[in-house]
Amino acid sequence: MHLSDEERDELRDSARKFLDNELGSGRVRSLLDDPDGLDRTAWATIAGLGWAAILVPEEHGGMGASWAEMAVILHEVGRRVAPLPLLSSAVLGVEALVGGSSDTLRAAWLPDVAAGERILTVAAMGPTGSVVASELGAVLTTSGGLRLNGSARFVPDAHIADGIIVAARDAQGAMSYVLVEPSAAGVSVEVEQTVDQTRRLAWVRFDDVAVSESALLVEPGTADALHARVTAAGAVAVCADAVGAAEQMLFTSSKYAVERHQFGRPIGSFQAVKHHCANMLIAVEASRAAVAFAVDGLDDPSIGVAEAAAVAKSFVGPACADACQLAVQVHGGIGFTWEHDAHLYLKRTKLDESLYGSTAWHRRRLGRQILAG
Amino acid sequence: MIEELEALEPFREEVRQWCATHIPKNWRTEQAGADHHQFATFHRWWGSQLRDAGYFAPHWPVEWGGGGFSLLQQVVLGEEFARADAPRNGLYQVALYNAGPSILHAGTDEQKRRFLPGIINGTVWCQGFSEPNAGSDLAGLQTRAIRDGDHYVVTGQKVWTSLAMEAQHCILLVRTDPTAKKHKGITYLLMDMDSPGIEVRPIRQATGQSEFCETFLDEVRIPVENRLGAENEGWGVTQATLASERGAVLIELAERLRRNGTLALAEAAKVWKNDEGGSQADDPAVQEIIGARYAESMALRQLLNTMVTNVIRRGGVGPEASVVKLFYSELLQQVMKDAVSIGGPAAQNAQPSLMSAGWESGVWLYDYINAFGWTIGGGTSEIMRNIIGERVLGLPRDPEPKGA
Ligand SMILES: Cc1cc2nc3c(=O)[nH]c(=O)nc-3n(C[C@H](O)[C@H](O)[C@H](O)COP(=O)(O)OP(=O)(O)OC[C@H]3O[C@@H](n4cnc5c(N)ncnc54)[C@H](O)[C@@H]3O)c2cc1C
Repeated sequence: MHLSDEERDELRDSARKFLDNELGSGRVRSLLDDPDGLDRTAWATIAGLGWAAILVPEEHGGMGASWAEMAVILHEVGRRVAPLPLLSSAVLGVEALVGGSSDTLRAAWLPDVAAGERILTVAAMGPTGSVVASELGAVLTTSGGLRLNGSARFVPDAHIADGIIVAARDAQGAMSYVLVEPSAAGVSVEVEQTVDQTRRLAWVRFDDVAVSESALLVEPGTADALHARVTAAGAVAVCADAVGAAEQMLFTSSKYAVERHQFGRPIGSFQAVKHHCANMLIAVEASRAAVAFAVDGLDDPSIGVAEAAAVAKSFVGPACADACQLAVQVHGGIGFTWEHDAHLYLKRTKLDESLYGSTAWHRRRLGRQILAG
Repeated sequence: MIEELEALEPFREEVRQWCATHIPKNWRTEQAGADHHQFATFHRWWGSQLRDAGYFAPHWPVEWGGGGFSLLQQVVLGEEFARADAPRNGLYQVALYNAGPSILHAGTDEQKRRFLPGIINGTVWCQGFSEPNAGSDLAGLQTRAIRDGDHYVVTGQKVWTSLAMEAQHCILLVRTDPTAKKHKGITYLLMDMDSPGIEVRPIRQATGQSEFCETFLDEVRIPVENRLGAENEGWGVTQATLASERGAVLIELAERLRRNGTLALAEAAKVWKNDEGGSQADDPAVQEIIGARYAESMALRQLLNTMVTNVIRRGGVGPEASVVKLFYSELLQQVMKDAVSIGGPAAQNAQPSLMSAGWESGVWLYDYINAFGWTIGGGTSEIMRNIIGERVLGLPRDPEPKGA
């Protein structure tokens, strides 16, 4: 299913209305102190709206829609810095299962994930936050049955997940994807103390966890392409989120620049401030374009999934975080308060910038690809 | 837009074939170091090639000798010309993209008949807008025109007039009512460059070449029938010509920047050595810069696609064109600056370079300096930011100083 432009506009409008009403700043702030960081009532409604089902194929109870739709929702969620398990479950979890080759796992999980009744996540980063296979901390050994050891960090929503798909390597560096349940013996989940609290990330440790053959998403040692796809999806998802966040800060800042007066005139008439706002707009528009390019790449893999993600991540991360930095600056003292939302957006975009491969790594990857071509 | 573009595949193939058989293979080496007359001679020849194929004025209606191509066909043309590294149609930019569209928009039938066929046949036009005291504040221009029967008598000075020494005609902004508010007293004239009283003095530019000129006007008589639009309403005529065709031109330039800029930088980096003797291409910092510029090139391309799609679906571009102009100018400058820094002394060589009002000279340091043509010309980057702040974001205008 592919929505028309008009249908996609409708999706955006309805998502925006819903989030503005149900997950406004007050509600988001109250969730910062909530142990789970999740509004389960709102999540149930969102599941009813089908946001968790967008990328799930129709035969598994999903919408079978495209990344273009997913990106619309992620953008709107970013606009409200809403704490929702979309990155973890609706993007990473679904991408892993859909891209894997296990019909059994798909049938067992996707309908519930689409309905929002169960939450999945993917542990795709190693202890340093890298997604490169050699840097992964989870190790799968095959001699004498499948065993998982080591750890993964920065796993989104692992503390509320019903299933954790783990990117693991073997001693030779070959990659596997396995699904473990957090309640399994030897699995422990510890919420990371990140500065941004609108997303919850966890440190997941594996102490000789027994893994059954049926928990493998692909044949052991053959998950390279799947890992590339899943981490590209994660990268594009955090970019879409960051553009939404930066767009909201652009809106807030230009509004403030009209209202706030100093020296007897609106601060937006001072060129330094006007140009800060113009620079935010350029960052947002160019980032939106980069995400659109990447989204096309995920929908049409002939473009090259890794390249698409690298283009987005090379540009969007710093551009949108810098836009949020300018938002604080344009607001002056009030922008530095806890009370004002600007810090929530700055922290969220700084976190987005750091996930699924650093800006520098993505740029080097692109650069090497061009130099090789 | 992708679907619509797919339907144009046969057209693309046709253009590609034409490029393969018509672009001289050695035009870059032949043109390197050319003076402006050699440049003009070559571009006249190239213009005639384009004319024979119907590609000279792709955006004009067929009625007036244009190609009558749709915006998407223009996009395809631009992409293919960039891919084939065709010479740019630089000599005729003002004629085709400023004078022509203004006459089409605001001219009388008689004016269209008098001027448009000439443009199609290769008349060169220049743009006499800027003055020593009226640059960013163009509406502050002071060149005076006094009505004398059926003529205007014009006295004043224009500056930065690109290719004035080659031009047969000039689109000229003059002040006809010095008592009116500054935007209200301006008139738009079409001036014959052979008229008595015009003196053109080429100005040597930062690159050493002379492309733009000072243009002195001393009681130049311009017939009233050469006035475009009403007297004192010339400002409106200039505003109307910031036409959507710019989108197609920028698509071509963006594609040229991606290829002749970013990808060419990657090629050069393979040859350039670092201080320890290693290839610059193996340096992770260099890889990072190239990747960053490539990502920005792709974002620019997507921005342009969105702009063109909006023109097609919603009819017309708004002030967001300023975003594209600004992003392009600064990316261009950055790519060239990166190349100069990665190239080290090797990028400093002053080899003979190509002349043009753009950048594609083939010498990185010249191209870097030439990029100011984009960050200053056609509205500076600062002015673009003002426009974005005021017309896109609705921020209050700069207060005018008292008495302006
Ligand atoms: C290569 C080239 C070709 C050109 N060709 C032509 C041509 O063919 N015909 C023609 O008519 N003109 C031409 N121009 C002129 C061009 O349009 C002007 O140079 C340009 O509009 C800037 O005017 P200026 O040079 O007087 O600079 P100024 O307006 O004096 O600007 C100087 C500096 O002040 C800044 N500034 C000025 N006003 C403001 C403001 N309100 N807010 C913030 N910053 C401000 C500018 O951004 C700039 O940094 C050309 C220029 C170049 C570089």
